[in-house]
Amino acid sequence: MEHYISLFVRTIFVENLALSFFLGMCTFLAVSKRVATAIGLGIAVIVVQGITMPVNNLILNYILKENALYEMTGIQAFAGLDLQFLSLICFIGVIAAMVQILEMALDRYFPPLYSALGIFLPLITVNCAILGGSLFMQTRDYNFPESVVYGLGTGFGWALAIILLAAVRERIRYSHVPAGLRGLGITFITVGLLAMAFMAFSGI
Amino acid sequence: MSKDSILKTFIVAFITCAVCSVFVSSAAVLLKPYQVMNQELFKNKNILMACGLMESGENLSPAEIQERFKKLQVVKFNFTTGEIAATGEDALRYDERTSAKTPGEMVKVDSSQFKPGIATRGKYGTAYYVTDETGKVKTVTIPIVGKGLWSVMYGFIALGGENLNTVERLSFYEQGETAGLGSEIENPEWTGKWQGKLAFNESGVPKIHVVKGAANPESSYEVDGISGATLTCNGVNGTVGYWLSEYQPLLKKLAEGEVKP
Amino acid sequence: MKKEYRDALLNPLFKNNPVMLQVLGICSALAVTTKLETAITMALAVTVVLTCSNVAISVIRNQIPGSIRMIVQMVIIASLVMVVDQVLKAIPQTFLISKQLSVFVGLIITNCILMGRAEAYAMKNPPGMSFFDGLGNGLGYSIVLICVAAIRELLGTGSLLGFQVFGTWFQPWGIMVLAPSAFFLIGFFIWIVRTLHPEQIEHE
Repeated sequence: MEHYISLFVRTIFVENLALSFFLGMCTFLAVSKRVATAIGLGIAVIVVQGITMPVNNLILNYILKENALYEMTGIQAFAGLDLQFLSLICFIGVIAAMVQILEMALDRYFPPLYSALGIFLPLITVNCAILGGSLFMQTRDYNFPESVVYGLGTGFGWALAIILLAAVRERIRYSHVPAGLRGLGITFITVGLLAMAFMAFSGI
Repeated sequence: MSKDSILKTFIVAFITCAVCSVFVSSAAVLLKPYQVMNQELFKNKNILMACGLMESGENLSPAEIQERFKKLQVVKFNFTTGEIAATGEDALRYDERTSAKTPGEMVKVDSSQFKPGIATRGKYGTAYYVTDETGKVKTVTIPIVGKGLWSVMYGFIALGGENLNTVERLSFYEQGETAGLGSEIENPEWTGKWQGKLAFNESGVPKIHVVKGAANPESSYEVDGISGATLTCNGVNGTVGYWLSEYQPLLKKLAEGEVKP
Repeated sequence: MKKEYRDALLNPLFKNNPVMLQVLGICSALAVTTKLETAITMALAVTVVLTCSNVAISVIRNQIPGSIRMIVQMVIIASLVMVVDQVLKAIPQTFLISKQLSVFVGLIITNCILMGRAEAYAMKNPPGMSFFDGLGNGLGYSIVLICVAAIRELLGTGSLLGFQVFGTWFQPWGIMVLAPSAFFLIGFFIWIVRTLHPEQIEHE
């Protein structure tokens, strides 16, 4: 249990996908102008990350890994088959499909939630935090429970980062920023400062 | 046929997939041998460097690497029984990394004494050694693997001197520790500090360790810590201690000249 | 060279830089820039994939049905990225670098420059123009990547491409190899470019 808690805390604070691995930056910068929208996108990321990561983990461990297909099916032709070079396309396919299914399910069963999150869901397919998380899961060789924790942790971390940034940006609007830095420039510098603050956790 | 008809959609989707899959699969199949060769060379180069047979800046052709590699003797060692399972080519073919994850071959790591942070290891371990003219073992290099702060660190530790108790070299070739802090474990300036330290105490228990802050200059077991990387250093301690204790029987055998190539 | 080709090639370098102005493809631009070597490899990989995907998509642009437009683009890009990934691992010189780039080669798929250019340019223009547009945007991305990496490596370690530039008197700036410095540097780049091209300044 302790192992999972430490993994969870670590992925949120120290290994924050947005602030220390720069993943999902495009949406991170584009959709962080208002806190309300940032919260919506943050929740959507948590949900999608929490679903796709374990699914990708299962696909990786039971289909793509060397000999995995052989052990599953027992068909001799699959012995020694290593399909890991296909992981990229499988992951992106799973993510796109999951987002689509989630969108339809929300639309059908939870219309209020759909109207709140709906517009963010397509954005998430091209969010590299989702794909990046799955790829990290692959290189670090997480098992199934770890992948669940890692998925939720990365989602929470990313959501936390974007909400914090949105809060800061709402305030910056009232200050005098040098003309050339207005908008994107000052946002980058703000994110840099946020990343520095998060780095303080890495010494723990 | 209109561009958006259903039939056309299916045809385009099918052709795109077919062309792309042929393209990707043929690339994967054609390039596989080169990738395997690179991986092999990478591993051998690391072993050579860890054994001190190659400088880190040196540029060697694949043939030269293989040539130098022949100077090394390899043993495959059974941790449980303490016996040599194989030598030479057979031992070289054994891969610790794969077998640490293969059901039936892996063994649970006992981390009661040292905490390497990994759950399983292979049943066997390999070691590389160099002998002098009289056949006496000069240096032994053993692979070490363990968890630092973030990720699994892979490296080697080379022992030599009297009773093979003196550290000659410590090196990590793969790690994902914090850049600039924990990743300093790869820095030769820091690994150089291990040189000349003693690995085991009188009763054969690993004693060498990294301390927090500066090491006591009197002690032959303490190594300077890396500031800002305490957790990585703890991982290094657990890793080095664990593998030294596992390999201790083999080191003893080699030091006493019980192993014949 | 025809003027329109030249414009397609040169505009993305400074006037309409994909990273600094369109805020595309930032994730990887930040993550792989601790060393010049990795940045150059990454820049090359992205430029190659971008040029090829632009041409490929432009060639079949009149055949792609609207309903599966995105997924066709995605498949083409993903295939190119997988091949580039395999090639990087197969060449002895780039093998080590691809190890350091780890997941970020795969993440080229979600690099928004690729989808962005495919959708905004290659779908509407002939292959020749798309080729130069892809090359130009790839180079625009490369410029930012290489500049940031050069500064970070020089100040962070005192060396360039592994060769020691500064003498032993130089005390490396530890922050430069850590995440926040990348944000600051891009922030300052944007400031410089926008001071030189005042028409790019954002008005809120």
